[in-house]
Amino acid sequence: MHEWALAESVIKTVELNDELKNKKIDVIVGELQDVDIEVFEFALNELMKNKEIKIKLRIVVEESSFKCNNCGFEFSMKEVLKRNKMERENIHFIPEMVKAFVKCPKCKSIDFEIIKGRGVKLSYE
Amino acid sequence: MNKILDPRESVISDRLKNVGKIILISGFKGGIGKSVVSVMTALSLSRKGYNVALLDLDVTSSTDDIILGAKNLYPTEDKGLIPPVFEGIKFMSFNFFSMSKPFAIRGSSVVDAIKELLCVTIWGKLDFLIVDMPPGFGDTFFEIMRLFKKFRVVSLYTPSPLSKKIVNKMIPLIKDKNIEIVKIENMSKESGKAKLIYDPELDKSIGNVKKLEKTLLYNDVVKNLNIITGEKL
Repeated sequence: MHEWALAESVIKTVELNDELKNKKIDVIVGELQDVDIEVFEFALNELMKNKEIKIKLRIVVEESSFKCNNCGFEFSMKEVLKRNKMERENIHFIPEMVKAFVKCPKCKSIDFEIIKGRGVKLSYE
Repeated sequence: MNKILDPRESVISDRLKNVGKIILISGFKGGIGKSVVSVMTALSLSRKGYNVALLDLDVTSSTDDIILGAKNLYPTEDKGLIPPVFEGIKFMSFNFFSMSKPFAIRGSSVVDAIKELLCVTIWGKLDFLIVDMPPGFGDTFFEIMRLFKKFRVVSLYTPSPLSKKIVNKMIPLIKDKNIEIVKIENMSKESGKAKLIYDPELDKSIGNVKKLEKTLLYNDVVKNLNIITGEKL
């Protein structure tokens, strides 16, 4: 239920930012964080109900991609999915932990960037 | 083009709202004993009956778990991450997640990792949160100044003129009405007010709390707790 904490951050942001009122908001969830969407959506709805916030949030899962700072090679979540359950659980909590467990598949460097699909963010017009 | 917001920051102050006082153990130079003093401060406050947490923010070189001899700890999940308790201290470290594997990341990733941890950690009610800071005045320090807003900095230095010079140069950069600062000499030639003695036997106690508590350094940390915390304990 760490998804609840992430949902709290989303709802708190909506509460604090007048700019977000009456906006269509996409809650972008990075593939890397492997958020349980059902649990996350439930938490968002419960928190909105408790705080009497009526706003339409659309959850969008963003594919992850990575780029090696050493050789420039770009790679996908396939490398992360090769890791064991415990390692993926740790990436779920702190997405940067991907750098403890994954290496560039081409040059084996540990120095790579998460280009997209890291964690939770809000997108609005 | 759509605007993007990072929601994590909005909830960090909520996570810290029941924390009495945040104390950063810093000092800007490496190897001046920040981690050992952080651990001993948390330990001595815990022994005095305070609700205390220890957060190891030396993201890529966390060692507080090694100093404490705290093995096989992991947070539990309950609407966030609940830090494990060791020797009465709520303890959070990136080592729990890296499984003690080398964890080397660039500055922007350090900031992201810290924000993530602070967003999801449920500290509960605390008298003190002791934060072991990494060396230098870099990404972590800037981010913590922005996110925590009100805290005390214990700026350690050693008798080395290099260490003193850096501390005196850096302290003016963090002058703010919401930030308390105190300088404490570590690895000092003598014990005293705002002085923590150099203890040649310290390394033999690493990883063993009972031995840590018998060291000359621990004794000095206990004697200097009012100066470290800025409170009359």
